[in-house]
Amino acid sequence: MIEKVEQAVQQNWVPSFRYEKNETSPFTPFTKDLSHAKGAVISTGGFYVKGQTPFNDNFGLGDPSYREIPVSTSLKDLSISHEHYDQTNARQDANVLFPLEVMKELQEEGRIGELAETHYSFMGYIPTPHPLKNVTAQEVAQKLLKENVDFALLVPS
Amino acid sequence: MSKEISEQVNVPRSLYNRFPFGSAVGQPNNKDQHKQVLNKALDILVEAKEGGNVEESGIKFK
Repeated sequence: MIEKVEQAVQQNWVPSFRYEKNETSPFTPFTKDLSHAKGAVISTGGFYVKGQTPFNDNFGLGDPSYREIPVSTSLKDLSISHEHYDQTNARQDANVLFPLEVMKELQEEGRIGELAETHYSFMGYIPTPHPLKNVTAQEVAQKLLKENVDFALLVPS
Repeated sequence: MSKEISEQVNVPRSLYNRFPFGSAVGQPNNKDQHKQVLNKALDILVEAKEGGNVEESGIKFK
C-alpha cells in the first residue's frame, strides 16, 4: 500500500514524495491518573471552524498549517477542506475524525479528567513534511505544553 | 489509516481499526462504537510499556 500511494503522489504532484520512516519511537510512559489527566484531540481531517481560512491543497503541494478549534465549538460549526479522502462520513458526523463530543462524554463519565481549551486539526496531505516537522507541529507541541495537556489523541484521515 | 504506515512511521502508540479511510473512529453517529474505539486507545495510552507497537482493535466497522 505504501508503494502504491507513493507512486501516485510522485506521478501526480510531488516527484520526490516518500512516506516518513523512523527507526525509533519517541515514547514517554504515562504515569498520571487518567481520570485527572487533560487531553486534546488532534485530527488530520482538514477541519476548521466556519469563519477561519480553509486549508489549501496548493495544486497538490499540500498544506502544513493547522487550525485551533476551541473546546466550546459545536461540531456543526466545523467545515472540512481536504481533497484526499472521502468526506462522506465525516460530513455526516465529524466525530468519525474529530471525536471531540466523544471525549466530552468520556470526561463526563470520569474516564478522563478534563479537556484542553484548544484542540487542533491539520490537513493530512503534506507530501513535503519539512515545514510540518520544523515549524507547525512544533508550534502545536509548544501550545499543548503551555496548556499543560497530558495526552493528545491523534486521529488520522 | 494504514497499519503499514503506522508501523513504518513508528508512532509511540497506535490503535489500528480495520475501518475505511475517512472513518477512523467508526460509523457516523454510532456513539457506542466511537466510545469503544476511544476507550481502547486510552487503555493503550495508560498500559503501553514501550513505543512503536501497533495494536489491532478487532472492532468491526459494520
